[in-house]
Amino acid sequence: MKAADFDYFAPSDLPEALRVLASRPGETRVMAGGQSLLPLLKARLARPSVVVDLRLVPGLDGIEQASGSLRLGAMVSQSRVLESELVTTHAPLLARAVRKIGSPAIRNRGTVGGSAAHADPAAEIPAALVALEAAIVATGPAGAREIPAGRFYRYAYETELAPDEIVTGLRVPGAGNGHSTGASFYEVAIPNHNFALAGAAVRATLQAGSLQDVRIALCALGPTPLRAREAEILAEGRPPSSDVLERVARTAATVAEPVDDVLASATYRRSLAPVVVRRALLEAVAEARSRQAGLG
Amino acid sequence: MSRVHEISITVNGVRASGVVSSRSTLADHLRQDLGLTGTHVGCDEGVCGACTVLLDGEPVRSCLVLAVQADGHRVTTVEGLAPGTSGLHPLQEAFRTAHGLQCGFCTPGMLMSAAALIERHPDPDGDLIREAMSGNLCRCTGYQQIVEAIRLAAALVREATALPGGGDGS
Repeated sequence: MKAADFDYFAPSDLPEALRVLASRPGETRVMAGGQSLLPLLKARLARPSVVVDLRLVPGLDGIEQASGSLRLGAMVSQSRVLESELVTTHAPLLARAVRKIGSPAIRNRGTVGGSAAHADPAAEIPAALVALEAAIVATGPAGAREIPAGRFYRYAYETELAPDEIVTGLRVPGAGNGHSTGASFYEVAIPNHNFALAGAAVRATLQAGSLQDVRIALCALGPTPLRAREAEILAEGRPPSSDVLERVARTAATVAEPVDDVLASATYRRSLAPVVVRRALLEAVAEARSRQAGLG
Repeated sequence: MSRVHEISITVNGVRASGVVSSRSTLADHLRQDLGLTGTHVGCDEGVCGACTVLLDGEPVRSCLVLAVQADGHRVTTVEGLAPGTSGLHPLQEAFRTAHGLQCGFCTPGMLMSAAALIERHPDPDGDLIREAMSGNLCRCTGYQQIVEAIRLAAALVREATALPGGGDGS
């Protein structure tokens, strides 16, 4: 279908964008890359009277590493994330997650901030942000604040963002023990570039042969990314044997709350849950091992 | 803040000005306003890839870009591939000889995605080709000949740039 008519505005700075948001509350949508918003507009699932495009707002496309955190501007494209050595070095889980998004043409326009803010239950970036305990930077008339990813996602397409706020960036804390940490984003999608049916964002550190600071977040298995804390605690201090990983994966799967939808049944998704976690754990542990070995 | 916008886009090297509504996509504008119907609209929601064009040299879904967003930018469509009024781009030649198309509906999108791939990776292997082309769907060919066509095209381009006076500056 074609979108219903709307006023389009591309402000040249952030205060202007915030002013428009504040002046037409409830009928304004903010556009970043448009790869999620435009399909919504075209299906007429959203009918804003105003669309505010951030493409001309300066200062939203930086990637910087400082004081142990990686900061990405909201308008950084997903393609740039894949090409960024800073991201590959300091937040490899984020890069792995982005690699599973759509296809090259989508990633050329899609942005990290847009995906984070859109809060699609099947989106990869939100799940990675939850696993990484990252923060979403939200800017409103009163200034900028950080919202922890674990708190940011309230429900499908619903976040903690206030109506007069715009997501302007992400902050990802670094892994303390980077040299013995592995990351994996494992997802089942049919075909490959379609929406995830089930996914897992996993990071694992090996310390003296034991699992440490394991992070597990489920993707597409509920209305928001789901952190599997019980499974993480179960893994802590244990050796990464196949028995342990199997138990951890099955425990993680218990937090899944899948629903039936046009892509897959809840039953099928529930059966995928332990599989995606286990495979992600195996990949993450394998990477942690090889990074450790690389140092010796 | 408006529902209509005056825009100017450089399409295949030529400046094209027009007036578009906010909701008009780049695909709509190319096809309906500029008469460039080579760009095809398949799903109109960004999953099939038939509408792929190059925006500032990068492949994008023209159905998921608003015309107004392309204002001031460069767009290359399938009509802009061939070097002149006669003759084919190596990709078009390769798709022809390797049977990389049947009905032709997905083909413009395939060509544009492939053009961007070969520009970046002059000697892509099968895995890289499949990864780069993963967003372009085809209902006719089963993809094998498309991959072969792209491999062949990459070889043709490498040959052409290696010939003396063939673009290597001598």
